[in-house]
Amino acid sequence: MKDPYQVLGIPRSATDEEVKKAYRNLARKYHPDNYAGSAQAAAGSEEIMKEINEAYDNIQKERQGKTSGHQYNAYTSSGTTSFYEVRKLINEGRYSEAELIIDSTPASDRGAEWNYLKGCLLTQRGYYYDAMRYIEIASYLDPNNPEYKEAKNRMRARSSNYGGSYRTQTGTGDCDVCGTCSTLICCDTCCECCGGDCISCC
Amino acid sequence: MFGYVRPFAPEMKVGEYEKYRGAYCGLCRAMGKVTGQLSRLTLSYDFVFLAAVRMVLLGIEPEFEAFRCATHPTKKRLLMKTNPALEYTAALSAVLAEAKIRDDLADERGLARLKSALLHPTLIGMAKRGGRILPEGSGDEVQDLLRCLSALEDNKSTSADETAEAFGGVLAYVFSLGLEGESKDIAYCIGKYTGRFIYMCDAADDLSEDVKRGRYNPLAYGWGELAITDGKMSDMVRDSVMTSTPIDLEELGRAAEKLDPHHEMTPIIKNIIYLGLPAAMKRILYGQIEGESLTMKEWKINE
Repeated sequence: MKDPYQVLGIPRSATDEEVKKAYRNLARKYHPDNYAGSAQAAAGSEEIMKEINEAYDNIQKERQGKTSGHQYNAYTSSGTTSFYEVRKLINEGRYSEAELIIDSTPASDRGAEWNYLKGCLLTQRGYYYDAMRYIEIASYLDPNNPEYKEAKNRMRARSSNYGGSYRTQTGTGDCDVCGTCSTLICCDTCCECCGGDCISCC
Repeated sequence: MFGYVRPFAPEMKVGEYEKYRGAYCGLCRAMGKVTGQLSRLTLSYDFVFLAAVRMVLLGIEPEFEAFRCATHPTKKRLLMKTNPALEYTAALSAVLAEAKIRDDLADERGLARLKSALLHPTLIGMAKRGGRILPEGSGDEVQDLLRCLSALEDNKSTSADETAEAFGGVLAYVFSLGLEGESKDIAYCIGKYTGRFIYMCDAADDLSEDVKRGRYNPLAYGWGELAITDGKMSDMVRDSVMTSTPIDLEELGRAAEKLDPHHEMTPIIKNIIYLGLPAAMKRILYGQIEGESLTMKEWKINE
């Protein structure tokens, strides 16, 4: 894979704002609509767009990972945890190693934080039913912990998003203002054909 | 199977609703033709979904005719004419039913075993007739996949995802059987996540009953003593399952977006995936859904 920063043509030290700006400029430049004249050029620009999108996504992902990583570490440094190593591995994206440590933890040490981290690891695997169970148990064992509450809320928000695109697609489809106006104008054109005119200006 | 996979009727267009019923009746008739009259008793909503997905992926445009059903001689209804997707689904439902019973026979003891043993010969006959139009060896393959699931259940797996995934494997196989290329991938994905969903519905539906009778249930083993309060599913389990279900369905939604948007069955499939499935889970976890009751009375197709 190409270095995403190289694709966007920016240094690694670029701020989030700069990344966004570079992405926008490139996206505007290579948008397939600009090459509508030639099918070959359009296909080529699509290829480039894909690369740009991927690079942007990767940078976003990497940076998001880092910020949540800071949260993990902040929590760790407060000294309430013995899972420093696991959190570090999760931040670095080394999930299978983190899982090894988690799974070899003796049953007696599996408290709220263990449940929480196990849940986080399972989300990575796409095991959402189990992930949610561990997160739920974590906040049951330690009801006042903001980190576990936050994780629960994140899952809930994601869950209530499901089917969002479907719900907006159906229903109000062709009832918008533009649609109504153009329908009226069309009708009026028909009236004019037959001699009448309901909207005099057109 | 179980009948959890069906549309959310209040949000359907009348035409879609009638076509869905037509597909249901069409499948029933196809089952009578392909695997014998008795097999019509195993008809379920889940298989109508399978047939609809197959029609879209194979590009089969359904045709309808008006007919009078024997159970409703006064009303005319739409009936989907038999097509390869309906026939395949009919055959498959018999093969699945037989594989399930064969699996139960190996597991069950006592009265349940007797029941399975009595049913088995009839189902073997049906499956044999169905097997004629399916690729060779598909019955055995289905049974192997079901055996993976029973192995997990016998080991009292505490992971609902792991067991659900095994059942998803069964449906992924049957949805994608006989398809090629991208269609196969889409069918595989739809089958997998539909299977996972059905398995979770079943687990949630049976939780308190399973605990009472000491039967295996992935939720009971995963949650331990937190699973049940006052003989019923605890609020914690309820919330957790309701939250994770739509997240697990996201992949299914992505697959649905790849279906041909101009096919007649696609809006029905999307209704099922986006509204019908979450509604089915809600019904299991919280009882009847508000605002649904009136339409639902009309909604018992086979009454």
